[in-house]
Amino acid sequence: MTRLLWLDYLAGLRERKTWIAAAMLVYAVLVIPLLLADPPPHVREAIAAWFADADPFAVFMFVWIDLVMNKVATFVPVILASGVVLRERDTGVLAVLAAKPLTLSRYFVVRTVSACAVMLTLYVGAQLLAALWFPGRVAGFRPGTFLAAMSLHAFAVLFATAFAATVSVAVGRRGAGALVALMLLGLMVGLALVGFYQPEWYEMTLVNPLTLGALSMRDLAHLGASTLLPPMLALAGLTAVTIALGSRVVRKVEV
Amino acid sequence: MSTASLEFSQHLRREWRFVPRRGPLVMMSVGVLCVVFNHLVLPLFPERALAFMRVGFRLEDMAGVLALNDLMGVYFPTFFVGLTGSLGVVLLAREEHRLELLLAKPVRTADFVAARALPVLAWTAAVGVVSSTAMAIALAVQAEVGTSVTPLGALGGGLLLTALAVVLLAALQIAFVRIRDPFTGLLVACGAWFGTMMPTAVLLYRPDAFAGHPVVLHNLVMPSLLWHEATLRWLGPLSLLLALPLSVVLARAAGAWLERSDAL
Repeated sequence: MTRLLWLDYLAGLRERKTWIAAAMLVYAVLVIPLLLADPPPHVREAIAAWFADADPFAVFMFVWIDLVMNKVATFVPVILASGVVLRERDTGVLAVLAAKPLTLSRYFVVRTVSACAVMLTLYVGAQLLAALWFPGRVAGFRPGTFLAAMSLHAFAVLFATAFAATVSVAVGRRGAGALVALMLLGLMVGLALVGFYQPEWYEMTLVNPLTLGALSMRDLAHLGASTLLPPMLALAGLTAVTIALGSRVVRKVEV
Repeated sequence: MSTASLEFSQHLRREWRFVPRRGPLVMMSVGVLCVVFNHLVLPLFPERALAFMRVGFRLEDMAGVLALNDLMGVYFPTFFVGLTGSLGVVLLAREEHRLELLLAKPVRTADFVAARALPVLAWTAAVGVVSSTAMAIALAVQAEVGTSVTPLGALGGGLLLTALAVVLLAALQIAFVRIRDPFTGLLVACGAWFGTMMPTAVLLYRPDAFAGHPVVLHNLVMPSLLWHEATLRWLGPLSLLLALPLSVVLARAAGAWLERSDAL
């Protein structure tokens, strides 16, 4: 299984859609400093109030997470993971795989973990490039804090990838599955930061995995293990449960 | 009526019978639910969050804030349900090795692509019209939220976005006939959709970028649909009417390109 996972990961990295997604991420990294060169006063004031932090770095992190990486978390996982198993079925490959000593459930796990690994590679690559590109171009940029905050968000993106795969096999058709996953992830992303805008709803929004991924915004000045580890563990658990659920649901897919 | 157009209309009727309907019907409900959600939840936000949207997007009152969020609730489901259907026109058929079989029918390739694309685009337009109508009704019911946007103006804005979604999807068919992987097509389409949204993000975070470019500002950012709501009352329906024949032309162009290419 490990060998299959490795080969599938390599194949995923070589796919054209992965390269297009990588190009989009590079574009985002290069453009964001221009977008944030001179935010208007009402933007600075509002973000300072929501996150109790007047540091320009907080404005940057809000935009990076909300405008860029949360949108990435909506679209790229769906593109990478919505075809898992269903593509093989629709192209007639699944019947061949059925003759191999590998159950459909395990195959789903391998393909989903591989999609998660491709997503993580793209994500980590983008954050490392950003950490090199942003100093001097983004006011008050702190690479250590940035990477710590984004390491938490990476767990949310991994969840989104597993979620897209599971939703697709649950729906049973690639197009419809991608659409449902896109809508549900879009809803989660849309509501991810609502708890910061309306503090009365903060605790309620913690059921949203994408909110957990953005919890570093709560205290950027003092990011540490106590802030980052609990949501990371919660997201890792949710991802594992989602993949396990998908591996059960996939059994209903007709070969 | 020529024989060719008769054949096309017959083929179109045949494709219409088989076009998936469940997705568009569900997405109509999603569009209506988005509007209901906005009108119930957004007024509960603190004044600072509402002022952020009001000032950032140059809206006059709460009606503007609600209408702008409603417009997103129209554009997102409309575009993406249409995109899902559009992937099935050529891309999925090619990947599943059915395209050659389908093209073996006694129908020209341009007619084939147009006949498969048009029902999808018609259902896309229906989703946009229903969501836009829900937005107009919600604004009419909540008249106390402000007078900067009338229900008819909001409806016009929603219809213009629907027209944009339909034309964009028809234009994407031209790219789809040369792409082999449906998810690459999906990614390209997401990029195109983001491209239409980028000017609105720039308005929020870099409004100075539009200084000295009023034509760009008033034509590319989504809130401009609300700034010119009186014009949108007639321009919205007109643009949707024009979008449909333009989509036919684009879909046929995609088919003609497929015919000339060896991308089967």
